[in-house]
Amino acid sequence: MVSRRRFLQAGAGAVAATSMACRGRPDPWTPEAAKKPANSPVAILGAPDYDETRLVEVVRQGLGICGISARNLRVVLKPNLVEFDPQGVINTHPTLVAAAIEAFRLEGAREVVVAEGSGHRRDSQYLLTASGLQEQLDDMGAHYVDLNHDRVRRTVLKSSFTDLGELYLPETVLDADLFVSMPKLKTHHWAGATLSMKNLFGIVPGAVYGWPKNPLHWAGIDGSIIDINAALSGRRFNIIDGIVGMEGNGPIQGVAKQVGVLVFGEDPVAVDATGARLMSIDPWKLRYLEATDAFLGNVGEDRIEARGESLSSFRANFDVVTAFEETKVEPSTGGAGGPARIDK
Amino acid sequence: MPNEAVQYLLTSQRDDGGWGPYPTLPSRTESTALAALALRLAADVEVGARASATSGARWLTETQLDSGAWALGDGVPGPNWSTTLATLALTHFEGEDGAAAAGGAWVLGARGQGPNLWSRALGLFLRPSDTVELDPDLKGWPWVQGTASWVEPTSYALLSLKRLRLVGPAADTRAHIDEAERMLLDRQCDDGGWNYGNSRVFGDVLTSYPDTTSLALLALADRRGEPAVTAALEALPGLAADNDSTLAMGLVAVALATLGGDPEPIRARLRNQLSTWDGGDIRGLAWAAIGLLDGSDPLGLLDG
Repeated sequence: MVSRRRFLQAGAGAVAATSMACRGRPDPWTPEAAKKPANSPVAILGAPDYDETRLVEVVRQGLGICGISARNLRVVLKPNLVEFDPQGVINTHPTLVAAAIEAFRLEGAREVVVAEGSGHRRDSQYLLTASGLQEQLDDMGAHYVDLNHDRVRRTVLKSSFTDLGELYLPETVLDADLFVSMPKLKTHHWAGATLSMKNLFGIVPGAVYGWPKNPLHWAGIDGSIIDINAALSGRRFNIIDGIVGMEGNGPIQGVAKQVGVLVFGEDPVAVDATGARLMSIDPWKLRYLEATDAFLGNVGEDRIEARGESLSSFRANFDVVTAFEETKVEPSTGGAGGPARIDK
Repeated sequence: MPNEAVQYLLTSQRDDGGWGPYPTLPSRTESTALAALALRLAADVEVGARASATSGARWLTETQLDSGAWALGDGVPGPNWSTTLATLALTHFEGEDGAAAAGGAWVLGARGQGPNLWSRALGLFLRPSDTVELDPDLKGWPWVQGTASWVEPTSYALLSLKRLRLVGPAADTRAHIDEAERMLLDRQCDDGGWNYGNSRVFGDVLTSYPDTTSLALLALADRRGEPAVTAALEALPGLAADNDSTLAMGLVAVALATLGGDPEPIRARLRNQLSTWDGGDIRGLAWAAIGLLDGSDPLGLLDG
């Protein structure tokens, strides 16, 4: 309840939130949406470059450290593919996607599908070809699903941080045995950071909601991130491409930042909190993360079970746009503290 | 020279008369409207196109909502932005004037909104020097009712409303058309073309795309010769130089043919690309089919 109040009071829904709180309404999520584990394993593994052979092994190591089995599962990989960039900074690198396909196959997956519904560039044929992902998919014999035009099912949301109430979501995502969000490690000029949770804007179909999924912006970006993530009931995993990230005016016009790391974990909140710390952003100051700590996952380092390598050895000082300068912390601390429970 | 895109469209039609966004998917309004339109325009030169187009038009008229709008299709209720495309398509079918006019009437009532509280809170529209540079009070059309105007749905709406005015009596749409045209010109990028809705974000200049620039050019085709339109037309071939998608090349070919450019180089690339078509995006295929048609005004935007 505390997190919800702080989240909403900080955002555009302040008036409504205050009103709801005064009336003593229950938390804005259903019991089914409450998935916060006692502890969240997150693996941090170094990867200096996009060498595919090495990446296959790193991904398999990450899956193993997190105890993920893909045996007999239909795995849906959801990279972040939004715009072509010759420098390879905007999108999840195609080589990492290919490595993940191979890794999940080696771990026994029945099928591995790649799926995305770009919220920006909607000429998917161009985007796939120019980015190099199509070539990787062809080489791997992997199927691609355009989530902007996939079959959809009405999905009643399990939380109400927006007034959306329901969304039509792609069957490819809803029916996945294991859904894997594969974001790029990037700053975001409206959300502070775009990681595995914000990456799920790409599952909202443009054919229904248009581009750039504008109703989500109108409903509130932070609230939409939460409601979409809370809506998915199937098993999930997350892999952040932090080999080369993006700082500054992300998610499209920022600048490349070499970090050399991959982050793995089932808890999207914990994975994203770790991603934020890698960028020297205090995750407690990102509204969608602070709010989801109450029910969806763990932000606090005391509840994130760090596995693999040390976060501090990869922490980098990412530039952010002016509006998010207050979220920055010294690279030496990385947002290690807990939430400022000022309104308790 | 055979229009291979037409042949692919003919073989991709579903049993219910419509087309899905991809050949394996159920029929939807956007893909059916574009495919039916392309085949109707090709009906005089391609065997089988007329009957297939008529079936597509029937799918459209049978799925039109009482409001005059069309839903997405495939079980998703409520009006969808693709109403503009269904309306545009039906203006090309004899006997469908009423359905097209009803679609146009719905489009007129579905214009975009100004910035909401959330946008204002974020400063998306109120601090143009820091965020985006546009006039938020100029209304075009949104993807989803109640949200902001964007270049593509505005262009689709303008195409449908201008066609309605050309083919018969239409409501007084001049004021809405004028404002939407001003909105498009307000969003024109420095390179002469159009991105999706802005020309700058956080001070960074945005670049244009061939598909959006083609659509905006088609929407402004009756203003050809004006400096802004000429600038976009001159920029268009360069925007398409490194884009080999069926959608982009098809739209560029249609725009160049309509506005007096030379479509032959892009048509040659398009034919080459279609020689290895592997069952992709139907809407791209439809624009390609139109782009490969001979003639200078395939959509009938200039002379009715």
